[in-house]
Amino acid sequence: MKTTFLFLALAIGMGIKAQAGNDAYTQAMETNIQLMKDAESLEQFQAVANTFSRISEMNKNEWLPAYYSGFIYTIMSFQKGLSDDERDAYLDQAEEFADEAAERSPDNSEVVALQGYAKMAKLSVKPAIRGPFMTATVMKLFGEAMELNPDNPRAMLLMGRMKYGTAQFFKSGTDEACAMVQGSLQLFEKEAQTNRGIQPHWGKGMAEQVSKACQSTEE
Amino acid sequence: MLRQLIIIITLLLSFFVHAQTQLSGTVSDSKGRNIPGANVYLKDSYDGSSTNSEGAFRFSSTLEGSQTLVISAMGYHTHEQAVDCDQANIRLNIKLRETISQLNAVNITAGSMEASDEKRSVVVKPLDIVTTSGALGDVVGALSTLPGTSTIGNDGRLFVRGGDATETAIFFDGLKVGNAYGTSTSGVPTRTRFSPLLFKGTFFSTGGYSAEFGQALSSALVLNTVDMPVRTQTDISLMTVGGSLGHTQSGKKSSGTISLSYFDLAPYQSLVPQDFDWERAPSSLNAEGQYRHKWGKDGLLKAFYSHQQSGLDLWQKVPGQNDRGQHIKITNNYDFVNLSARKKTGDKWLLEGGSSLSNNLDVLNIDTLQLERHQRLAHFKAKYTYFHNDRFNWVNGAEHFIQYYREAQPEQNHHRSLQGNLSAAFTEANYYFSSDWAARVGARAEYDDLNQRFYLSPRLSAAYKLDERSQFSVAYGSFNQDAEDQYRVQDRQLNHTRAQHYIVNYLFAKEGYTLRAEAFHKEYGQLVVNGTGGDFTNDGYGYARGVDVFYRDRKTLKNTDYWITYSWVQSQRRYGSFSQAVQPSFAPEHNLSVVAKHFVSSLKSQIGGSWSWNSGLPYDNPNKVGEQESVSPNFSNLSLSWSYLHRQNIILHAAVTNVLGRDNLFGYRYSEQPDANGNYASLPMIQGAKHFFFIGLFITISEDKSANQLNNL
Repeated sequence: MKTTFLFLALAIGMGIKAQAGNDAYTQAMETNIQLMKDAESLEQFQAVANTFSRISEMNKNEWLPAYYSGFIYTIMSFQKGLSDDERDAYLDQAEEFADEAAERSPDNSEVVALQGYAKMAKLSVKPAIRGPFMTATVMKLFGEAMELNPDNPRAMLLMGRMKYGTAQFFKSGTDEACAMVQGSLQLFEKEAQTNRGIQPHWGKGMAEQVSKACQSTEE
Repeated sequence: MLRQLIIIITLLLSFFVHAQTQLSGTVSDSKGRNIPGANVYLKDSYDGSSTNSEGAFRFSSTLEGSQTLVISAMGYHTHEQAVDCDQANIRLNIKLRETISQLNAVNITAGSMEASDEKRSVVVKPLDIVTTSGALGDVVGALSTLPGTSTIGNDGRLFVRGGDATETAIFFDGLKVGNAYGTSTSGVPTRTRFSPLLFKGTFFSTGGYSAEFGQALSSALVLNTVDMPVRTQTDISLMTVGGSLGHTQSGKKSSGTISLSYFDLAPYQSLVPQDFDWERAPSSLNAEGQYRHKWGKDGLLKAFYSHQQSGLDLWQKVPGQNDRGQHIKITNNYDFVNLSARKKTGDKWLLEGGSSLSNNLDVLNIDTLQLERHQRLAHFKAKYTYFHNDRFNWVNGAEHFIQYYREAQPEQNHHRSLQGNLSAAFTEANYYFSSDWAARVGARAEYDDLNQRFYLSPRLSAAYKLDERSQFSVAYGSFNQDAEDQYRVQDRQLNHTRAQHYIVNYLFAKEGYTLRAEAFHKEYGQLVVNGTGGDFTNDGYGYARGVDVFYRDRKTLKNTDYWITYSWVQSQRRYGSFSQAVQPSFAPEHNLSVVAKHFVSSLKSQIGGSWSWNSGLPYDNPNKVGEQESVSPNFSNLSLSWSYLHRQNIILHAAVTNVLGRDNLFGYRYSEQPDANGNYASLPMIQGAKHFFFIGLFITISEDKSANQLNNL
């Protein structure tokens, strides 16, 4: 009887702790995603990326923390005032985390889209030099992400944005690119009706921006 | 009961009640500079923080006992240390050690120029190789605008720092290519056999190169093929000189490419007047196949096969005779196979290996005389690199070459041949004392079973970074190369020719600008000379010394990229039939080239120009006293090209050489015997035509419409 009681108490205690662990993960993710949305300076982004990588260390089976780390490093590479080398250094980190996420969750449309995003950012550091041999890889990754999940608005948006950039570089028509961006906006609308929680749900703002650029070139 | 209750309460409390520990401190680098943005945390917990712009951190934890504090930051080694979390306050000042990476580390650049996108020390990019106007898509044509090279307009091969063309070894995925240039005759320029589109990167060294490369006295050119093409596509090229058709099928694990091309200058030559007396214009047929397969996670297998057949037929005037002269007809058959493999095992080891086989058969008809020349080279190589850490790595490898050479006059039933084996082993250690200072120490040992001699060649180099933008490198190396086949087939005991290189290099690189200056001294020994009784000896010697400067600017002028190269070479050597040291014909003293590319976005076009100039080639005039006492006039060639991007997948390219129409003269040929007055009759060595015009249309068909042959420009 006594032992049962002791055992029960222990079990409850452990259970609470385990539950706390799981909650702690979700809660940490939620808090940090909010911080990510509010971040503006490199310093703030870096702190958020660090937190995600700590969460990632603690939860070796979860792909989301590594995904977000990779995403933030990609965003950081676009900050103004960075040298090419600095941008490359951030993007090396971004690719490392995106690959880590891909290892934890293979054939994941979101992760593949992020891998493509980081590559696209790398291309944009030196477009004239890297464009010719990296364009195909980037396109392939976005195509793969769209195939894995045709409803992933980020995959379609990034593909549209890549095509838009390429079309501008070559002074050719942006119709196809803009149609894709419009398509992604519809997918974003659809996504907004669900609660994505800690799942990736960024990109609508970027879609609207590119869409605006599309309209201004039409005029 | 009470005791048990206490136990339970204590147990429960342990889950919910914790003492707080405050952790704070600073993170800095080895020079005491603050590191902002470092990740500081307790291992296996959520407890942690990032350092602020002053490099300071502060956070609290409810963990107890001994814990591990981890500090990580981009560009530094991760630091771990034990902390006692039973204390209320922990204050730490932590120093992180910088990692040595491609981005911050000094690079050994003495002698070498790497065409790659990823290293900051590069002076040219892979694309430059194919977009240089005047090169007409020839790898060597583009490299001849780089420092340390001389443009020998009537030859077409690569001449480096007073060395002849055989002193440059060409490697294809690390394996040697035999007969890398198409067969030609004296005065008719040749080209490299491989399309620049095959390669993703080029490593070109004009001296002091790594122990991995042997059998080259002056220079190593390493061409690395594209790893995995990512796109399935069909390429069509239509050119004024021929056409090609290629298809690439790309899969997840493997990919294959086949291509077929045919070149024939006959239609072109019927339109554009030629100064050579062609019986049949040069033509060639080339079939190529490529297969690559991913081997596990970090491995790659590559196979390449190329078959080429080509021919030319012309009359060359003979000094002192008034007829069409000598009738020369050449038929060439060439096969090249290359198999290579690369595999990473763990983080520490990289294994690379492969084999190549080059097989070249020339049939020459000179008037009524038929000559056959058969050359075969097999190369086997294996090497491994051991990465101890970011400061130290060690390369070891072994190679074996089997050479076969046969020359024959079938009608006279004369022939002679040789078969030789050469084994080599090399070792090389790379060490970074810091990110500012690096050294490379290596050695190469070779055994030649034909002359039964053993050769040892040490190689040393070091580099020191002055600041973020500039660095110094120095290199020393000893090099050996077997005597040319046509000598060895007559005397197997001939020793290897030797050279010692001493190089000092300065490199300044800033975004958009590169300045590179190099001074060198090369000492030659054991060069092959003709003895008095028709024999050969290793009594030759000589030197080459000089300075070259390279300046590239991609920033000052909008949408314009240009570079200027000046190479000064002073060379004297005793070789061949010269009785004393002379300036060789392939070593003009002053060499200059200017390359510019300008992108006009409103025209969707890239306009390019290149100008090559040298101070003239020395030649020997038997009517004058001395050897190599005369110098040809200055050589000058201005080429222009225009590439128009009609649609993303259709490119039109036009080029013209020698726009200014200069009558370049490469010296004179003299009759073998003097005439009745004791004069040797002469004939000028001229260019084949004043200009060469080229127009090509390149079309790419793939599902991805943005694909194009931009690399073809």
